[in-house]
Order: sequence, then C-alpha cells, then structure tokens
Amino acid sequence: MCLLALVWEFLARLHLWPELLFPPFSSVVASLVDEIAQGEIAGRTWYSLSLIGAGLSLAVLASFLACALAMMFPACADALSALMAVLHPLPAIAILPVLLLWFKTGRHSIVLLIVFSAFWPLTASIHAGLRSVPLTQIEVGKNLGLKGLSLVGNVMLPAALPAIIAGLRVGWARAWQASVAAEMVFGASGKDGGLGWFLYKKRYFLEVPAVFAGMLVIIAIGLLVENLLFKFLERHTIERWGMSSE
Amino acid sequence: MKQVEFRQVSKVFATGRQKIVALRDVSFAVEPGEFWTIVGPSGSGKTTLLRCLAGLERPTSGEILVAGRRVTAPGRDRMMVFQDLDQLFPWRTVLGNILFALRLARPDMGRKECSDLAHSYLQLVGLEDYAHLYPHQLSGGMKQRVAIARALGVQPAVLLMDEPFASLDAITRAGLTAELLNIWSETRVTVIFVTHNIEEALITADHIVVLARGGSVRALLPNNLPRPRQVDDPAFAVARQRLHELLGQAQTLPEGNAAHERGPEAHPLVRPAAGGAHLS
Ligand SMILES: Nc1ncnc2c1ncn2[C@@H]1O[C@H](COP(=O)(O)OP(=O)(O)OP(=O)(O)O)[C@@H](O)[C@H]1O
Ligand SMILES: [Mg+2]
Repeated sequence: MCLLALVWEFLARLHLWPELLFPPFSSVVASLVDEIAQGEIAGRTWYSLSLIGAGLSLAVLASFLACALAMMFPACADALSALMAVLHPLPAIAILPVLLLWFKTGRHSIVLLIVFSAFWPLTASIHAGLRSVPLTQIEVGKNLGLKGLSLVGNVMLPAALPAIIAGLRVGWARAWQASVAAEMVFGASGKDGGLGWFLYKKRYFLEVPAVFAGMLVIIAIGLLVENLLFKFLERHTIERWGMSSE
Repeated sequence: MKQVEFRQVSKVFATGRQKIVALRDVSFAVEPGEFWTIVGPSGSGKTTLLRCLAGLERPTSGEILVAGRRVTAPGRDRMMVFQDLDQLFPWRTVLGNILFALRLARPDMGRKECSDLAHSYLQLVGLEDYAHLYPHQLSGGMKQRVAIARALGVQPAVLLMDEPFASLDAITRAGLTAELLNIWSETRVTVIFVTHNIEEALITADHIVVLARGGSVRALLPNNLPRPRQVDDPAFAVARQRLHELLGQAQTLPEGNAAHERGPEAHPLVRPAAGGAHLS
C-alpha cells in the first residue's frame, strides 16, 4: 500500500500528465485532510452508509422471506428461479430510470435501488446454501424431535452460514456500487447527498484532488468492512468450525 | 412386550416409471436389550429397513411397532447413528453436540446435571479430553464415537446403527466394535446394527437377519456362539462359513416367488449336538 502511494507520487511528479488530471498523492492527502476538517466528507460518508444500512437490511429481510417461501412451496421456488434468471443479470443501475419515474428523486429511490441490487445475489446464495445443508444433519435434527422453525433455526441456518456470509459480502459490494452510481447519475436532492454526490460535485468544480480523496474514502470503507466485519465474522464462526472451505 | 416388531413390512420406491422393491414382507421381533445385526448384499434394503424403523421413511405396507406403539414419525425413543462422518453439527463442540441433544430430550434437567450427564457419556466413549474440540478437529473414528455418545445421551429405547464404522480402517473398526459391545453391556440398550462385514455380525449379534437382493429375509439366525466371541474359536469358523454361504445365496435374485415362499431359514448358527457343543 505504501509502495503504491510512493509510485503514485513519483509518477505524478514526472508531470507526464497535466497535474490537474493526475494530482500527486500528497495533494490528494492534503485535500482529504482539508475535507475531513471541514466536516463535509464525514457527513457524506455517514449519509451513504445510512442509505446502505437501510437498503441492505431490507434486502436481507426480503431474501430470507423469499427463501422461506421457496423452501415451503415448490411453486414459489420455480417463480423465484425464473425471476432470478431474468433480473439477476440486469445491472441494478439500469432500473434507476424506472425507479425515478415511480418514486421521484430522493432517498427512497436510492434505498430501493440498493435493495434491488443486493436482493438477487443475496437470495441466490442463501437459497443455494439452504438447499445444500447435509441431509444427514437435517435428519439428525428430526430424530431429536426438531421440526418447523426450531429445525430451521437450530440446523438449517447455522449449516447454511457459509453461504449466507458469502451472500452478504456480494450484497454489500453491490449495494455500495449502486449507491455511488445512483448519486452520480442524478445527483442528490437538496443538501443531502452521499459520497457519490461528493465525487460528482467535486468533478464538476474540477477539484481533482478532492475527487481522488473521495475515492480513497470509498476504498478505505470497503477495506474496513471486509477486514473488520466480514473477516472477523468468519474467523469467529465458519473458520473456527471448519466450515469455510465451501 | 416386544421392543421392536416388524410385521410384513414392504417398501417400494417409485422412481419415474420404475418400481424398486427395497423391502419385501419383512417380519421379525426383537426383545428388549437384544443386539440384532442386519447383513445382506449391497442394495438389499438394510438402510431402508433402519430408516423405516427410525420413521424417516414410511413402509408401503405392513407396520412397525416399537414397545407396542406404531411408528409414524421420527422420535427420540429410536436414535439413529448414520454412516456419514458429517452427522455432527460442525458449529457445536463435541460437548456442545451432546448437550444439545440432551437438553432437547430432558428439558426438565438443570444445567449442572445436564453437563455432568454429557460428560459421563463422553467418558463412556473415551473422549473426555476432547470435549471442547470442534468436529472438524476429530478423526473419523472419534466423530463416530461422539455420534454414538450423542445418541445414547438421549437415552433411547433402541439404538439404530447404519454401518457406522464402514468408512474406517480395519483396526479402528475392530476397536470400535469391541467398544460398542462394552457400551451395550453397560447400558443394555436394544441395538439394531447394519453391517457388510460377516465377522462383525458374528461378534456382535444375538440374532442375525440376512436380507437377500430384492429385500426379502433370507434367514433369521439366532447366534448362539458363547460371548465374548473369539475369531479363532473353531465354532466361529463354522458359523462364518455358514453365514458366508447364506450371503452368497442372498446375492442372487429370488426365482419368482419360490424362494420367497419357502420362508426364511431360522436354525441357530451352531447346532448343539448331544454331549456339548458340536460343530455342525
Ligand atoms: N430414496 C430412494 N429412492 C429410490 N430408491 C431407493 C431410495 N432409497 C433406496 N432405494 C433403493 O432401494 C434399494 C435398497 O437400498 P438400501 O439403501 O436400503 O440398500 P442397502 O442394503 O443399505 O445397500 P448398501 O449396503 O449399499 O448400503 C436399492 O435398490 C436402492 O436403489
Ligand atoms: Mg446402506
């Protein structure tokens, strides 16, 4: 990482490209410090994260509901896989125009876009995970007298945890992409806006170091979530239980 | 009252157009505390027989009684130990697996009592030092011992075992078989045990059921070899020879109904002659 920063700084100082388009690392850092001091970037980050939090939680709820229905009723499973085949390959951003028509610009549209972008990968992976729970473990559960929800909670969900975590990972990445992309397409409403809006605005005013600073923040958050949240979760669950090879 | 009773149990699997007869008119009765061993060629319905008894599969006709009550669903009075090495819950420790089953079976019991009992079952299978390991940290033989301890912890009336040691090496297997016999004589639980292995059947069983291809009972043999059974006992060799022949005959599909209607053979494995044990 340090090496990358040094190479960046060195290349920029060679002035192969105009400084306006490719600022040195040091001025990006300076701009980052500046933006943090002004408080704008923190507010924008918080705004983005709150939208993603809302969207992702809704998507998780909806996915579990869809999977429960699909496991209970074969007709629902067929419908779900048909929908999945059609809608999963659709880039989330492509439904933005429709969402804008139906719900106007604003946070609702962005949250819905996040739900849509995270729902499909989440559902695909949770459903696959639940279907591949070893039959023997389910039968041991039944033999012990578990049925219905107690079987789901005590056997199916823990056994499907590797797939659930994998789904959350992809869902989170998609949600993050969707929120940034959405704001760059139509901007923000009023004063509210997240990191996507921040990038858009800074580019508009040609504050290039700030654009790069915004990107650094996005990268940093991605790394933090991956390493602190997902790695931590895995280390204390599926890695410890020897379930992480799947 | 009989502990387990099969009354003309048949099971037909319909897969598409094809019908597979897995069990055909199987009848036998097990007294409490007996050790019954089912042998038969691959595909003769041994697993299906156990699964029907466990309530995981429904007979097509006939009925199965456990302590006089008809089997309709899985229950904790019949605990199954599977052949697969992945039957333990990987997210619980060795002790956690046993405790989980114990708490479900004995909701009335206090924490301390539960934990003491779980430890005593671990001790029974010789794994008290491994209580806090996760299943993926155990060898195959240890996993099967934990599965046995978990099943016994529920204090079932009948322990069902489907080739639990089949995927283990011969020495581990012999050791575990001996251990199982010790556990059986300590707990006096009724055992229905499936195996491919003739010697294992002769060492363990009070009664041997020989299933033939097509799922009918080829023989019901009281095993009257004296315990503890020694493989180098001459009577053992005779019994082995006889069982070997029966299994050979069981490999061929019955011609029409003739073989079936003759009924199962039911002579004791070693026929006692006047003046003491004599080799038949
Ligand atoms: N769920 C099922 N659907 C269709 N056929 C089945 C099913 N389960 C078992 N069978 C069939 O029933 C017959 C008996 O199978 P089973 O598994 O009971 O044999 P087995 O004696 O346990 O064999 P093995 O020694 O190989 O384990 C086989 O012909 C098998 O193909
Ligand atoms: Mg089998």
